[in-house]
Amino acid sequence: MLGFIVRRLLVSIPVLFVVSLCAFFLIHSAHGDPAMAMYGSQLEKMRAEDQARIRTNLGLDQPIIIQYGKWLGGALRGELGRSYMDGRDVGEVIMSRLPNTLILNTAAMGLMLGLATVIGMTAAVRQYSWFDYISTFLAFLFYSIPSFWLALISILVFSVSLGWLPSAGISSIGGEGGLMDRLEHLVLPVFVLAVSHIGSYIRFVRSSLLEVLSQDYMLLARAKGLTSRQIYFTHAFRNALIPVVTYVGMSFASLIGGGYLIEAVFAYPGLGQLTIYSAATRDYPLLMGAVLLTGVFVVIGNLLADILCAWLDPRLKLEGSERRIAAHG
Amino acid sequence: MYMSNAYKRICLLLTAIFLLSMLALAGCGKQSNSPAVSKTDPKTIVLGIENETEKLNPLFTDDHDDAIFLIFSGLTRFNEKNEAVPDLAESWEISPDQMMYTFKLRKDAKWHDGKPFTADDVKFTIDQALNKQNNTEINYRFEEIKEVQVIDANTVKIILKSPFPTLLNVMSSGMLPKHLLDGKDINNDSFNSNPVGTGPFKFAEWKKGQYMILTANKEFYRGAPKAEKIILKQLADPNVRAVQLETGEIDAALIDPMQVDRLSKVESLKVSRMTTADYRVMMYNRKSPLWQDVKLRQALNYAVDREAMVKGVLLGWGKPAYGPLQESWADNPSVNQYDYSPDKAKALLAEAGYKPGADGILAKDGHKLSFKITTFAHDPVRVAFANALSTQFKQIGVDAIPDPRERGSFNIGDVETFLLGWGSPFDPDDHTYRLFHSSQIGKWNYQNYKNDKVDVLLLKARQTADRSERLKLYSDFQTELANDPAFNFLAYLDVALVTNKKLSGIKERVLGHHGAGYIWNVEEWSKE
Repeated sequence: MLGFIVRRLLVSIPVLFVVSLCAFFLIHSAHGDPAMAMYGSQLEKMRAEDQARIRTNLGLDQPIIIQYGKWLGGALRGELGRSYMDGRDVGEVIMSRLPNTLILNTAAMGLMLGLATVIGMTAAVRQYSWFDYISTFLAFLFYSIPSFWLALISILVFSVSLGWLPSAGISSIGGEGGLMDRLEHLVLPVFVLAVSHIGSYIRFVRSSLLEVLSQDYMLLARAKGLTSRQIYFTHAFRNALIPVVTYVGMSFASLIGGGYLIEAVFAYPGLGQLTIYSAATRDYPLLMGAVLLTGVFVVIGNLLADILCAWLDPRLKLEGSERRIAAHG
Repeated sequence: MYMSNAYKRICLLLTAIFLLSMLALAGCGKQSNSPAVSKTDPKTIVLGIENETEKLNPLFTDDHDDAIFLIFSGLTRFNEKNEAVPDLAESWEISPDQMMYTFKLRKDAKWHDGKPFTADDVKFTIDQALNKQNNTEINYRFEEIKEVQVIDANTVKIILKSPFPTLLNVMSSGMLPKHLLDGKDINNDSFNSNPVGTGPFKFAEWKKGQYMILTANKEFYRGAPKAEKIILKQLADPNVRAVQLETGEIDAALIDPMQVDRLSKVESLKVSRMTTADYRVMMYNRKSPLWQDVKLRQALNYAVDREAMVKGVLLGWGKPAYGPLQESWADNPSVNQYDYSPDKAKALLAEAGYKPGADGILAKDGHKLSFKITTFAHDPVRVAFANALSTQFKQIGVDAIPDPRERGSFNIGDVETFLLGWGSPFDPDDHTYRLFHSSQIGKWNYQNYKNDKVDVLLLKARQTADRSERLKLYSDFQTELANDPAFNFLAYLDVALVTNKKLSGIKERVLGHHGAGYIWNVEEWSKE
């Protein structure tokens, strides 16, 4: 097991290298440059000569391969450079936002997965029942509601009309209020983020379980005389969760940038807003840092998914950790 | 069985739609009795801002950024009429040839860390602005300065390369403390997120992406501000700024004109229309052979219904434009304003030799009258202007194609026409010499405009001290600019400022672009 994890982490090094190489060249081939972005909306007020001067100061006049070499050299020493926009260390900027993003997204993912699993499985077990129809309808409804719209409506209802919850931010200004204050500010963004993803997951869980239920071994289990409870809990659910876990692992990385709209509406200082902003302002060092972090999340997400799948299904022995044992039927 | 399922589904659908619409109604219906009093502390003013400052350092802003404006101050400041008046400098003398400015500094001004403000700081600030290693965009302001001499701790002499009346405007730039920044890398120094200035408010705390807290500078040389604290809250989404005004979580913010109707119904709020000097034009780039013919430019100026554009594109939040100095003391309203007249436009086009082709598009010598209106794709207002122009030009047989492009993907000086934004509420020299003098071709004169009369007038106006003489020169300049148009002037933009009624002391003045400067007299603001 440990050997497997170490090997997987070693394989991820070239993966991250290729990611950084592609990202660097793609980012630098986009139109616009950081000097221009400094001027914001009235770009025409900056002279060409000042743009050129600032480009030179930032080292952007050098061949791109040299720029990449410099960046890579720094990255290997753990230095991701300084943000063009505010001059702070990129690692520091990202770390100041990462906890916020992780809290918001893990809470939303947890809520969403829990609900989606229960609803999706119930719907599959009771296929074509009232419950199935309601959940299918709601799944499509939530899937088609734009998240920013839901966010605005929920602010109007819960903050403006009812006055129950704060409309934006992560805490009251000045930090007074402590844990309860933080939690109050989390309710709306977590709710909206969970609801905006739950539709597709409900459908996914449902069809995954239906697929399992139609397998021959389900028929065998019934023929053996197992109770419905035993069939579902010991055989069906576990197997149905495997594709779901893989899917969650793959989308783990979207935790970073996926919440952008929600973050913007709720003025939530997370990585999504930071990444979009750094792209818009051509803040290359910051954008590279964010891309690299996304790469790390992809690697970790897939690794976790593999480990979890192996635990769910003992037939899927972790590759290379032990000799493959023939599936027992 | 099948029927009953379908029936159930329809019932469900209707129930769900009903429930959701109830939810939406709950949201809309209760607006008027929402808790719309100011929730913030009476000694604290909370401002909602769209974009956070990047670096809290006056070297890195060309607009008067709110936070920087509160923390820093300059030798001069702008009064209600946007004229430069004494601030850190208590007085100044200008040599008769307009080449030498001697500033007497206040003796009671201190940095927020208690150190006295001196002439060395002035020299240091100008040197840093001109230092090519600094990624500042305000260097151009000081380029006419030949030398800065520190006479004594409270006297500084600035010697110019050529007369430059805008110097008094330029000296409103915030001063930097030499004792904290000497020898440092100003681009990346931690000063930029923990600044020390001389302004009415001191920097206290900054939660990036959330808010910044500033506290009153009790020892401010112009008197302590009335409010004890100012909080700048970053709310990128205009809808959320509107909501927070309504709930009383913020006291003032600039909002999108789309929100005005809604917010003007909220009893606790006041909506103000603020005039700006920020205008939009279609620039005729003289590089294109089309625009060599003055009659064509004049014809297109007549072909624009500016009233309709203000209504359609700006939702009424603006006014028709006819010149670059409409919001200045130097305005000359008696120039040809090119009132909408398709007939005059057609007559001029005919005089210029254009005849309608088979497809209804005008043509001359086998060339169709067709051009692109290039603009920044990220600015919806400019794109809307380009589209509106295209429609209006089509009516007189001119084929103008809107061409929104990503910024940085083209050079403004290379396109046929460009939907340009410019304007400044300050000294008329600032935004006329740079834009229309032929010496600025390749710099800010993107349209490659060269008119000898204009050159002479603009140069003379910057070398003249007497205001009535300058007024005459600028009047003549505007007449000439209207006769030989460099631009097709479209509109000046207004901005909507919403404040809680509890907030008092707000004074209006003509603002810069994006409504920059509405907090210009913030030290007089208070809440009951």
